[in-house]
Amino acid sequence: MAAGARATPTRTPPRPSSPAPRTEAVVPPDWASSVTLVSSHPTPPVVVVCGPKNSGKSTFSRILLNALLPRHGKVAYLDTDVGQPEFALPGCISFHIVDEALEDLLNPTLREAERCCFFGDISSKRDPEAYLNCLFHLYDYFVGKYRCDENEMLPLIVNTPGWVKGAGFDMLVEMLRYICPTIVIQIRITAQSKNLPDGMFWLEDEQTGPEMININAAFHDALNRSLLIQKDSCGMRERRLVEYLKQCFPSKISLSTNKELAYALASIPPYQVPFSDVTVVHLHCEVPAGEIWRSLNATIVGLAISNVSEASRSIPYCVGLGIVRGIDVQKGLLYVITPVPLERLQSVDLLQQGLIEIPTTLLQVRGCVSPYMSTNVLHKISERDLYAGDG
Amino acid sequence: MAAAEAAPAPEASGFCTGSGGLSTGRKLVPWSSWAEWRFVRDGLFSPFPAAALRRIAAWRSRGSVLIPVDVTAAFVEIRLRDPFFRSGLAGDDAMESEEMLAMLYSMAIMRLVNGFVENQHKKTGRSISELAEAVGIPRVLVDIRHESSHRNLPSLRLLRLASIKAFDWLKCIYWDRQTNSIPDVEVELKLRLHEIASFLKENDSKESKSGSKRKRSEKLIVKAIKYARRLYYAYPFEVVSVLLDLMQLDAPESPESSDMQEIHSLGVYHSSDTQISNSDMKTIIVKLSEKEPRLLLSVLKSVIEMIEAKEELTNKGESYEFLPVGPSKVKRLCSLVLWLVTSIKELKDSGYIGLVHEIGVLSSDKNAVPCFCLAKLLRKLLNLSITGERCMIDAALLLIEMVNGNSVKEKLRKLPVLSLPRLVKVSSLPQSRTICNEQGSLEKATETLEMFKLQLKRQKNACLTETGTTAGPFNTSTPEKHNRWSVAKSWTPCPIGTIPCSFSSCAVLPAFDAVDHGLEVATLEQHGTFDEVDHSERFESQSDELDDGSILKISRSSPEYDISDMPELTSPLKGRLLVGGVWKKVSEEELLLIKSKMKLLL
Repeated sequence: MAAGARATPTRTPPRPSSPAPRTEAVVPPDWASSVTLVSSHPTPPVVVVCGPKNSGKSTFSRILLNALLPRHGKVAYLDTDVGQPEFALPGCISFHIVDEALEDLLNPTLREAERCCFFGDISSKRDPEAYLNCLFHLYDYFVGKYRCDENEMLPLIVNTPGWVKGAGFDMLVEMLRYICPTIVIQIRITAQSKNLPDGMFWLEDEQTGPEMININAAFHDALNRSLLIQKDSCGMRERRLVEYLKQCFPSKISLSTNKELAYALASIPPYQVPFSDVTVVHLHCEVPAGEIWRSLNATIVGLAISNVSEASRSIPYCVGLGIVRGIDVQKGLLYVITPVPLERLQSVDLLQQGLIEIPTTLLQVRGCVSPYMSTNVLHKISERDLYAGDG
Repeated sequence: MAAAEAAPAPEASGFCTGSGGLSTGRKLVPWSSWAEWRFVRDGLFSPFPAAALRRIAAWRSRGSVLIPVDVTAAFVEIRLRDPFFRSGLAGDDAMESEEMLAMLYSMAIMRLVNGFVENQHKKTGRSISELAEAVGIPRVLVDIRHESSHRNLPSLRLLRLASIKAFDWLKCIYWDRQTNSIPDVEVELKLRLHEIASFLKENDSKESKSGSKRKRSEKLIVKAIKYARRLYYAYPFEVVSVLLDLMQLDAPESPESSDMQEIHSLGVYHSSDTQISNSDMKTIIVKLSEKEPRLLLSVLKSVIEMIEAKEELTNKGESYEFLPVGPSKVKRLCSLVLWLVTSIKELKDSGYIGLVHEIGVLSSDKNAVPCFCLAKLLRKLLNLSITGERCMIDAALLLIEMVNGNSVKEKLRKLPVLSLPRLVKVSSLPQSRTICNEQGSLEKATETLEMFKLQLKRQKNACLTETGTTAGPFNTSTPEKHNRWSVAKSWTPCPIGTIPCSFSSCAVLPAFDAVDHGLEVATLEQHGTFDEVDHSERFESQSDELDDGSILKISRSSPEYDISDMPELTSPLKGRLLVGGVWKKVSEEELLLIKSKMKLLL
């Protein structure tokens, strides 16, 4: 029954039908030829990679990035998927300059961003306008810095989210119109209804569009249907945050388990900042004035610098994420744990609270269980409870 | 995941009916304590739900709000806009459009039904109405969900009735049930402690009996101790207070044996409870602290605070008529202090407690106790005005010995130097030297302590008068360019979401084990303090404190800072301001004045 099969929860391991764990990136012929085509362009291209989710956009982007490096030395990368970021943290839209080949073509890796905006949720649907504004801001930044001087132009790869229907499609169209890429790579899967429209779907009439390359998803099953690479995106986000928070500690300290990290986080002397020196911004919720600290305690925040000087789009940019590990209302101090170095923090004047949830594994370690990890929570009213109540 | 879907399990009933102890699973919740949850519950079901709704807004911003909470709040909010329900409410935020109100109600009902059955529906494929019936959702709500999504919007009259039904159902299925399953720490802990006590007795009585039975009850003790420890992790304050409660410190005078292993046989603790003898309690506390040594510190801190509170009452001129057991209780408390300190020492000697100078970030050694905690407790102890008590002196000496591993001699020589202000320094030095010579002499030590305390008090008074005049520098000092961010000093491990601070006024922050392992003052510098004390700096740094809020600076050079800990448990901090290390009462105007000046500086 179709409905039953679809209900596979995200946390279960890959579906039985998917291929054995991939150990090496497979580059099909059409991928290879399009990569060659793009990388042979004399002028640094602006490439947008789009397609439905799990079709291999990120993998293709990585291959393309490595291919562009030898010719251009550096490649700019605009990471626009807030739910499954390539280099950045969940909830962030980020702009990177990559100057070394990516070793792992199969998995995203954490890299420091050159410029980053904290959107604050794992899907752009929460606030399409804010999402696009962040994106446009970062693109403007790229154009201003790496596209103006003819001699120092860099190629750009824009990896897009796999949300290609409804509001997701509308946002993709906006994105493409704003960016005006020189090349658009569309990855298509065999389930046609899930694909983006063929052709230059974002242009209204027959304007002269960019070069358009269609390629197919890399994997197929026995019936030649595209195999989608199912990812455990929830677990990936959690691992990404864990990896990031490990940077709070010197690398010589071994933090192999989450438990060790959780204890280390509970023990590390945090940074402190007076209430009066930072402004708290709730990105997606309205919080009554008297409840701000309650709302903030033990949550993840974006550490941002308000950006009033740049007139065009005054979007604060984010230097990293942190955990508000405690609040002392008496002293008027916020205690924040973050890997961001102290010098860099000094200019941080905004704490952006989004809806990025703190991994619960980091909140509970023996003897150091956060008060927000409660026992005896009645959270599921299932039949079980009811029978128990009746009986 | 599969477990949740399992067929009705008989043991599940334990969870739902009455307080069944701590559940093993934990869940991320937006409230920081059950008290906060109760606050919201009571607010939602009261005629004035505004504060509760504001709190729920904060919860929503944290994520992980449960469906029943979310929907209950929605119903309350809609009712506030519905003229039918808001009779007598002032304000103009009533919604007149029936159509709009009907939409709001329908949406809330739809979210309620879907929220409860959607997951099951997807997993099992059974129909919504079938599932709703199984969960017990009133049929009318299911029908409204269907009608409003696929047919005409139901009438407002029906929707209002349905909303009342939904509201009641939510109250019953979620709010009441959750209320019943909140663990009662006191009851739970007492239950376990009595269990342990009875096993202990059993063991004592059948000393000669077979080893297997003995083993069994020992096993049970271990199990119960483990559970008690879990309770302690979850509710440290409550556990400590229950433990002290059971020590029967209020019990009428009873014959005490000299070695303090006395058994109070008088009186009954609670009408229903059989009492646990103090020696059993002590055994239990020791057993508990073997795995969780900081428990002893928590208890010690509480006991010292109890003595403080007693003293405060005495100082206020309340005579003993009101406190018939006053002096003897204090006496018992004092002997308890000595016992606790002795136990700490014993645990230290047997390796259960590792005294460290600073808990490393990665020290996985759960038995590590920072020295400065003991040092701080010591200072607290010395601040007490009970001096005649021999056991207090013994306790202080033991603590001194532990804090400064080297020698009591060294410590004693430095103590007066540390605490006496400049003027007395000279005169006190010779005396302390005499003590060096006769370090065993407790009488002398008492004398020193007495003097020490006198000076502390004098200093305290000096501070009070001094800070009265600090308004001057306030106005004139120019704001320095300061760094917004800095690394918090003297941090001690504490769960995320809490701060290691004993006088956090904010109720939402459960100040876990506040003073023992959590010290808000620069206690890391403690050891430095003993050696280099520059009193001339003190008053200067106090104005610094007011200038830039860096409290850390001041504490480095003012050992009497800790005195401010005293009143925190006995008197609310409302209307008080920490000035020069002392919680001073300030008037509203004064506060406003200070506030405006602070603003200027910042």
